[in-house]
Amino acid sequence: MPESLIRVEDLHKSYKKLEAVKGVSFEIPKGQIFGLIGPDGAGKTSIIQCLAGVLSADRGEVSIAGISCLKKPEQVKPIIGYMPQGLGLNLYDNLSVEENINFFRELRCVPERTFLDNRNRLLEMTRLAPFSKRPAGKLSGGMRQKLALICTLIHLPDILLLDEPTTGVDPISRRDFWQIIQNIVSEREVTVLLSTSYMDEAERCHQIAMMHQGEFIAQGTPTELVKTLRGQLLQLTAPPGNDLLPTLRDWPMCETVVQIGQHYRLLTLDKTDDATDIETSLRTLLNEVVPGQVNIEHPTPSLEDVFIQHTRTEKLARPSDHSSTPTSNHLSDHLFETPWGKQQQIDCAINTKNISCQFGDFTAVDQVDLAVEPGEIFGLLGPNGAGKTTLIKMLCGLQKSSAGSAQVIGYDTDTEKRKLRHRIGYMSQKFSLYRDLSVVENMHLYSGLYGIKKAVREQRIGVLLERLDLAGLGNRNTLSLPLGIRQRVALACALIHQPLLLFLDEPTSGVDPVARRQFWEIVHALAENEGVTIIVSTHYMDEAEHCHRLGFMQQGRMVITGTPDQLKQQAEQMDGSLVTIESEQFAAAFEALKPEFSGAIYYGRRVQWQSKTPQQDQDRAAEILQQSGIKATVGCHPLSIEEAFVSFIQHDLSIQNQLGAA
Amino acid sequence: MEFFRRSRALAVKETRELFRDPTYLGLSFFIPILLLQLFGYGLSLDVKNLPIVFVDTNNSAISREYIDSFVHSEYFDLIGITRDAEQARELMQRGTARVVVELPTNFSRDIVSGKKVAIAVTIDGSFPTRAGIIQSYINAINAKNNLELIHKMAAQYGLDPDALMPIEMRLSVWYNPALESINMIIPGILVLILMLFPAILGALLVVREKEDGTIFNLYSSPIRRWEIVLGKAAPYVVVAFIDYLIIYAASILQFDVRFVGSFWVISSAAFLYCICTIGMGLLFSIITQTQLAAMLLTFLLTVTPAFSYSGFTTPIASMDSLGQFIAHLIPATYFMDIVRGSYLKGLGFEYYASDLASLAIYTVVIYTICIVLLKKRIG
Repeated sequence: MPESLIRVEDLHKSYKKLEAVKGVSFEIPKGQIFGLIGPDGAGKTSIIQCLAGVLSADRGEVSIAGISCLKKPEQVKPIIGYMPQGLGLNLYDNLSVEENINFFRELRCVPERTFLDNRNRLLEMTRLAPFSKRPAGKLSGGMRQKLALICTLIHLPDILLLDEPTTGVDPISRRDFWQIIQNIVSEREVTVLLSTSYMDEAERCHQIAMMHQGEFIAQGTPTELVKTLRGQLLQLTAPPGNDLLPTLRDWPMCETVVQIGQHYRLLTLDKTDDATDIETSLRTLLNEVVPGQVNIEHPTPSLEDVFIQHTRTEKLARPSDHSSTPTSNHLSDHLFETPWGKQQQIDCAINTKNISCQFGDFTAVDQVDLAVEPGEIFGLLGPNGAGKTTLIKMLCGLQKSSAGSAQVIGYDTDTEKRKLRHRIGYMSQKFSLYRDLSVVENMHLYSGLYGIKKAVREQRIGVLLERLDLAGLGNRNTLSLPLGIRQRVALACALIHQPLLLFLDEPTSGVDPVARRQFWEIVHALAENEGVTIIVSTHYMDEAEHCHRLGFMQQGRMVITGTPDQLKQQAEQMDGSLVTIESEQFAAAFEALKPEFSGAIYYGRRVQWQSKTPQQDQDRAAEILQQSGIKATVGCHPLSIEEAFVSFIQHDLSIQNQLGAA
Repeated sequence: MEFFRRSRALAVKETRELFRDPTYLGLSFFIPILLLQLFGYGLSLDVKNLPIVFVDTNNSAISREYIDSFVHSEYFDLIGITRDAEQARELMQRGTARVVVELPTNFSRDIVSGKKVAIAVTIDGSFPTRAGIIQSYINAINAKNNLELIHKMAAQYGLDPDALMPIEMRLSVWYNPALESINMIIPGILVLILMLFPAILGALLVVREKEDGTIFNLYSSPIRRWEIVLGKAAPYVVVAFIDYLIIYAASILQFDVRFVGSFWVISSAAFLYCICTIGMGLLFSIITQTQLAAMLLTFLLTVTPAFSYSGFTTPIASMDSLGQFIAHLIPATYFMDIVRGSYLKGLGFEYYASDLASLAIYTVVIYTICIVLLKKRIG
């Protein structure tokens, strides 16, 4: 084991009453990437800021290369690069790309030679060189984040502290971003500490720590952590039209189960039973309720599965902690007396014809045609700035369209705004709650806004509190609630007037995986039992699988729509199947394969590329790896939504470029 | 010279941001000049052209002569002469008249017969200082009328009028011989503007980076605290000094303010004062977390005391002891002394040494506090 460069011992930090970090210890050896994963408010930022020397601690020690970051912060600052949370928040918007880079260079007194070499390389890797004169404020989210990284790396720091560097960044920019990090780690042995809410990014780290409420709940290499998963992970696929969720929940062997599209991901309780026994008993159970064959697979456990199991165990150990209550079973019932959404007599929940929205010379939404059926869950996917929020605002009648027309549940969004607003619900990114009001006061406010009679109001609030697992929290101040619960409160407020259509604008940003699962269950129940149409925007690609249909957005355009499976198939036809290399030495494998397979990228701990000749590629890759003496598993994987997204976006970009050139 | 390099980088960045942000550019140059125009033309402490009404029930040659003595002075504007006291009262209430002078029916008869006669003078006292000035004007004109009467009587009885009034006063006014208030207001405005705007700009300097999140670039880099202060303040000291030059030029070329002092004395004092006021803003910026709070604090602690206690409207010597104490706590007082002196008196450098020294000490203290309170940490 190499010597530890970063050392954190028993770190404690409180903000007034809130204990953000409760006795965390870890070490990072030189040249390693250490990932902190966990939801918002877990304490990740506090740890990173203590290491960056910009935050004092209450107790404990934090040191870099033997120098205390708490006592002598100024001594560590020359060797660290710190990138705060938020898209390009360390940039000066009025300064151009070049001027920003120069400022950081001067601030760090970088010598001429080092600077020029480093800058040119970084600009080339990030493909930002053509934009050097453009003000930082006019770059896209992904470009801003890459520029922010260049600025953080310009003085060749030995230690890199990155706070959620890729949240909300488009998948293509995220790939560039990781490429740079892997490069500097392998070339200069830079030590990296980063926090992330993307589980696939966590898999790329040498070591990870899962954080929850200020504590490490698990720590180790990704492989080690995945192995700590107790019980068996099964993926069930039932013929369409069957709801297995209630049956699976009641199965005594079930620890957790989640529905993802047509699949169910089930984790069994940790019993020493034989795997085949479990499968047999499950089959017997399902044969009674489901006509036809249920397909059972054994997927590779992900870090998210581990995270969920760990937080659940935590919660069970402390039953007083309300945020951790396992999901209730009553969601399969109707939320209210009557499934209100099913009474509507319309063919189309949403029907738009070429709607556009122009802000000055910037086109936020560009001629979008969209049709959504009642009761459908439709997902809008795209990076920050793709136009998702603007499109949602236009469909709510909050933003006037500059061209085209849109019908939402039978009303014109421009001329019948008032009627429309009474029948739709909207939940925004920031959970539009009044934080100084209690849960019930917030719900009263929303009832008042929608003119709901007092008698009906109390009954509805009671039902919503119970069904959304908020019972007993009615009088709590909203501010004091964890993010995951606040999200459900916001949902309850958006449902108080029984909307026929619900818009969810990035509803799960920063929320922990357990709360995210619970949230999606409610969304499914709303669509299926109540007949509510749901439009949801997200930048988490894995969440897209929960939707019935998806639309990929890019620069205001709706690039393509379709079911998740259709999109994956189409992408596979366009760009070929996914060849994957799984190896402990994945960085070395990448270096060996890169010359031959130019499309190779990192994804988690594997190297992968899309190929139209997958068999041939697999054979050749196995050969190369053998020659280089790298142990690896070569295989072929089905495309994920993320790969499909990247394929479509890249095709769209090349078409746009051709159009631009012509 | 690493420190110079880092401070310069910061200064270059600040300058670029300043010139690309219309709000900052406006606050730096446009609004100070606009304010100078508003005050320069709008604020006058001269009491002239006062609307006056006479109630003359006597209506004789003597009473008309008495009225004429008022009308011929530049201080009063005759609104009307009436016989009806009630009507005059109404004009006063409406604000059409500020002064009512009532001459009794027996006015001429009593004067001719050598009796003492009382006239009733009513003044609108809403603005006490103005009322005081009106009172002294009326006293003076009335005294002049009395004097003429004495001369006439003396001639009548063959007496020497000088023997009746042996002491004569010969008045000469120094520094502002024409007693024009603009000569006192514009230099005062210069002091106030150079207090307010540099402080506001300074107040936004650090706190804006706190709001944007870019402050972490500085916190997490090896830049020293005083290097931050230097790099942030330097460009805005230049901006404030340019403001000074513009206002100085406007005072002389546009407002024709009398300037008899040394340009170098006032300019070096102005430079020091700009450093000081930028520092005050910077200090507010360091101790607050939002731009709004920084702005409010700046208004409360810079321009408000400067307006009331720097000697802008009331001489410090005539304040009570608390007022004088406050006056000595604010830098505007010392600079006011130098500015007024330079414009009107034109004394040499040595006369301002103590004021300059006070400003310098003040500046050093402010910047020391800035550097001590600027923590490169958030908590």
